[in-house]
Amino acid sequence: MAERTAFNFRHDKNAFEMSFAFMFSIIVGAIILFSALYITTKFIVPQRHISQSEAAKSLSALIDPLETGSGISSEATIIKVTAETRIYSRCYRPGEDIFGRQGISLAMQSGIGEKWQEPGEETAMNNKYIFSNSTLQGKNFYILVKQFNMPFKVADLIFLYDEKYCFVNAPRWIKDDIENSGNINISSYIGECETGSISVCFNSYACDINVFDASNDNSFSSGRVMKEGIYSDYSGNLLYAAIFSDSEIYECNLARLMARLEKLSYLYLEKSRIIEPKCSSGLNEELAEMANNAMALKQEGTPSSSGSFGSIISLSEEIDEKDSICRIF
Amino acid sequence: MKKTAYAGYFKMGKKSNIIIWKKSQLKIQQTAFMLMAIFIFFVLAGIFFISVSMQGTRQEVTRLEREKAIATAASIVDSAEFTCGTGSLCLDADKLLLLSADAGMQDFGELWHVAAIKVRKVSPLSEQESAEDIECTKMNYPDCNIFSVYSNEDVSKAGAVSSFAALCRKENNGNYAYDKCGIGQINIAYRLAE
Repeated sequence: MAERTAFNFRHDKNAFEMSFAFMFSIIVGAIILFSALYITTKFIVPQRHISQSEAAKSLSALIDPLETGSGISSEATIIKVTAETRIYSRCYRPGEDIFGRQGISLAMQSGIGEKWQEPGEETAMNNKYIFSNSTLQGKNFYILVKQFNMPFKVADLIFLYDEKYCFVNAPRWIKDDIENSGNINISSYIGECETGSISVCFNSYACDINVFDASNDNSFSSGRVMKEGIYSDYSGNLLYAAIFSDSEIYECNLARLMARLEKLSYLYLEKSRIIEPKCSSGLNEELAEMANNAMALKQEGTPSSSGSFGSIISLSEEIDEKDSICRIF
Repeated sequence: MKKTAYAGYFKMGKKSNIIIWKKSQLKIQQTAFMLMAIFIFFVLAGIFFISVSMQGTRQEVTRLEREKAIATAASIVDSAEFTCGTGSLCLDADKLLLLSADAGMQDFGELWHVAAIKVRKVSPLSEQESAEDIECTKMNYPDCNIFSVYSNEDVSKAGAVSSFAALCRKENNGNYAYDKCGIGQINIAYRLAE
């Protein structure tokens, strides 16, 4: 067989000739194609970030009208999403922001790239108090709204949850309150609870979450909630807050509520002063004391019935009784 | 001419080989220009797509801000700072005065993420109030019709939505105190994306 040289290779009829232009276009074409793919993949990530941030903003716009008095019933609002979604909730104590703030961000499951990516931009809300676990996941989310009064309305408490709850041996007012709430069952004994649901017992240690009464009339209007080994003191509708949220979010939101209570007490104190010529409420001292107690509890951080929290509750009852003359609230 | 590995081979051949070399050189240039053109086309198409999607994002931001303003207008009447407490859809004019005219109450502005909140008394209006807007202060209250509750000075371009509610204040008829009510209009301004 004759030796193949560059010269005879060129004249070989069976040889496949690849011109330089052909090779050049293949190489550069491949580079362009790969860079296009790379840029596209890089572009999808911020696009996902943008759409997740938009979704968080939309969620906050959905939560915004949930203000009691605007025809909001005690029935739960259900938020349904098409894709499996994670809601991350963060609470910022009063400090830089006078009333603190609540941050919500979302991450949606996707078939492109990583299943779960970093959540989108956080949407901040200064006037909303969302009590939930720090991370929720699912396609259906439930919202309950209740008022927080001391004795005047301070804010609306929003309870956001994704799991099934089972209330065992709940008192009458709680049964009536949550009768039509989504994903909450009421039963007489723990055996009736659905498997996989979170059980909430009243005056018993048998459940995942246990509520203990501290009121004088056995009504559970105030008391303690034990969740994951941590006790949280509550009063009124804060009972649901302690049940549905992490202890960290509970304490942080309570500090935020106290910041608002403090400012509202001053607002009512000023109102009481300007309407004095028309009607004397006689509440100036109590309102000033309420503002001071709220400020103290905001700084204490942990609500305790023996501390400022207890004083606020008794002061609230006192103000409620005295406000029958002018009705400044 | 630049020396390449093929240079020797082409030199070895006849004059026609030099013509082939020049033709290939021309082809390479053509291909290079073509690829450059394709590359520039994709870059321009990319820039166009990004600018269109950015425009979409801007519109989305404005839409969300407007949605938030509508939601705020609907719910603010029942918030603790505005409600007169006697029922739904009732604004407390005494509190509005303090929120707009009392320096110590300016902190409340932090609660609402909107560009501005203004409440206008619509009815009943005095002759003077009908002729011109009178901003409420502690000196002229209740003979005024505008409560400027909150204004974000950083917002240069804004849209607005409004809603109506009862506007009540405490009065005394000599024997007892009562709530004297009229009609108020809540105006919420929201930021427009620039």
